[in-house]
Amino acid sequence: MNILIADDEASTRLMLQSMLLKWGYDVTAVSDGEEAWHFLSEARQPLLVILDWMMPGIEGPEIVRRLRLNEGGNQHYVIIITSVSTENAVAQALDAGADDFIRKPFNLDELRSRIAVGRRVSCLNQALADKLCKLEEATESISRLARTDDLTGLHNRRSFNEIFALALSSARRHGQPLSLISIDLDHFKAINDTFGHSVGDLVLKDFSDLLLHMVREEDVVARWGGEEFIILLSHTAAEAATALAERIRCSCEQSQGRSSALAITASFGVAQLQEGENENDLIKRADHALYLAKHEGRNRVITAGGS
Amino acid sequence: MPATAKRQADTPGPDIFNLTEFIDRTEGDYGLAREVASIFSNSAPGYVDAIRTAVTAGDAEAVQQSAHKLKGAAANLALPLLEESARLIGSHARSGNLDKAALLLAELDQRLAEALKTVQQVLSSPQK
Repeated sequence: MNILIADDEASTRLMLQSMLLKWGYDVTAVSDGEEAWHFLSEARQPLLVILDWMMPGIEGPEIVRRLRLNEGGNQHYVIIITSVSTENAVAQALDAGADDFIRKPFNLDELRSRIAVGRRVSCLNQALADKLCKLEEATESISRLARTDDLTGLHNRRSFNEIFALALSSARRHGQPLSLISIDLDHFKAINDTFGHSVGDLVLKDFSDLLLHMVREEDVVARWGGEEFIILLSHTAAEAATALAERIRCSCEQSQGRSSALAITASFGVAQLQEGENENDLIKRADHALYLAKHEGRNRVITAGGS
Repeated sequence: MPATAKRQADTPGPDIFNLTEFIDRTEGDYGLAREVASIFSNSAPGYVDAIRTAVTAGDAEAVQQSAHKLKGAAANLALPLLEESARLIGSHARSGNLDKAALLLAELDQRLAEALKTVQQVLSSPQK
């Protein structure tokens, strides 16, 4: 356990440091309040801190006060030590945020016992901090999983809808164009039926990788369900969205992915947000264009006109 | 003077230096005790000089700070008389009465000299 000692009086500092080392603690000793504050500001782990009351720079109680206002500052166990003899010194130190108070000169047995209490509380604080950290990581992981399609790693439908609603609102507010590309792999059922689901999954993964490779970083690609995909293109008009869809279609046709032995093609429906449209309206028009692409022979891009 | 009487006269009283208390505070570690005593011998005269300078300058805050530091160091080494002098000077400074603090400077010098002499005995005592 690491202990920080801050005391400007050299002989007291040495004595305290020596006893703590003898009792098996790691000790860092500094001689003024500024140094102590700097050390604590950089500390990444809970520390047991022993602060002299009167010091050059910043006095002990002020350091604790600042520490308690800081995020993470509550993790440290702070003992104020002093030869200040005023009656309310203990109350002042504790009110400032100290956990304990020891008068100088020390009674060794009392010092050892109080520091042992501090160590116990610090260990509990550390265990709590570790658990909180793990909890935050788990929460983040769950949140990520809830937004991700298991098979492809793309956004799932729920995540897409959340992003779509925000993007639509922003596009309306700023008068910016926004387009959707609705995609469906051609004859996918036949692939599953002929080669089995594991090959089907491989096709879906390869196609997802292709999509991610071809879009801009700010574009949102989601698996809409089964062999359906959707791409949200902010700040993009129908012409540019159509050109992108065409590039993807060509690449898919010439794909050299793990499933390239199979002839995979896809159909695309493109639609640009029109005045007064909501999310469903736009998706419906993109889906209708996709339907037309399928109807007209598949492996093609159809762009929806205005509603 | 018989040898035993001379030894008693040379041994400082516990009001000047309580050796037992000091050694207890180091858990009987004479090496540490000598090191602490050495630091005290080097630093305490500076604390007293700082008190005198601050009294002359009329700086009550600085008097308080240096007196507090000397008081802590003296208490750490179990030097009760020096600790008391430092405490009184600090107390006068806190109440803004630097004239009274000035009157205690001569006594402070004397107690510091006694203290330094006695801690020197710790420094020069045979290894235990």
